[in-house]
Amino acid sequence: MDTLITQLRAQIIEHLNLDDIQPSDVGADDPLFGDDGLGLDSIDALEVVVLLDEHYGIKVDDPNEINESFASLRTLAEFIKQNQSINATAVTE
Amino acid sequence: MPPFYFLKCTNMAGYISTYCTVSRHQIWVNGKTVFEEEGTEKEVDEFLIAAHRHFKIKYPKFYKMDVLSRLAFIASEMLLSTDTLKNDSVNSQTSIILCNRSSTVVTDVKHQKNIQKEQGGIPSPATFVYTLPNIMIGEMSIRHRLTGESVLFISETFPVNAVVQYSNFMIDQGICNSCLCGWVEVSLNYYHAFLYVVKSEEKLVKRTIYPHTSETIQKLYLSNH
Repeated sequence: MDTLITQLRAQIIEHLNLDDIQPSDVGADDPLFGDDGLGLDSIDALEVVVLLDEHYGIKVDDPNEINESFASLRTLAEFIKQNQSINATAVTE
Repeated sequence: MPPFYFLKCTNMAGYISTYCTVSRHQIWVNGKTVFEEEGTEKEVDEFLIAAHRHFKIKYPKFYKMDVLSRLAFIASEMLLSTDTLKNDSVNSQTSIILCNRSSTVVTDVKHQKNIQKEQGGIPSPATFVYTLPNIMIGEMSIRHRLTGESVLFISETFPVNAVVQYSNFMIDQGICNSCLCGWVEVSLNYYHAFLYVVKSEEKLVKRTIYPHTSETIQKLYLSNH
């Protein structure tokens, strides 16, 4: 799980053009969205959906999944583990 | 361009209190160089990021913007966030009139590449949202809480007469009491931003002001082009 979280952290920083953010700035349980967290917005949420499809073969069809599963790196990693498809390229422990 | 020649102002509408040019890896404010990067090897994005860091602008959303919005953001930041303007700041009754020639062609090309990727291109929402040139107005408005009228015109060249008449008309009619106007252009191998603030009355401050006329704007626009 920690390896997947590390990978997700790097992918989100690169994919969302968070050039001013260092990996050490994002804790596994830090909120990703909103003013109290990384400050991601709705467009970033869509980018994360694209990231899940491109890198893990996971398609998010239910918008309700976004609220809980995208809350932090850890919840996102757990979501990936639950939904990973056979052809996904994610790192497994 | 819409025929603004019929707009008749009853009063001398405004005075230009400050202007900024960003071009050729240099930034001028009121005719003075405030930042420059030697050499032109850097891409315009690198130059704008360097300017963002040089002026210690703490605005993380800058990094999510496309190159056109970054250029507009940096140019407007020079006018609307300096200490000298804190007591003379643009307020929510500010309108915005911007123009350019190439719309969002750089981002359009990037978006096109995304959707044409070999294995079924997936459009990037963060790229797609910037394929509308008005977004740069939105970014400035969010940053400086500007809620007045705004418009963006696409034109082959900077339509100085139209912009001067339109902004003077809005100020004269009380639609706004100040206006951020200018030209923000980015194409595949060229960029140039010229922004200025025109206000409804002369301020008693110790700095140069200019009458808001087509002749003055044309002169200022070309001065660092």
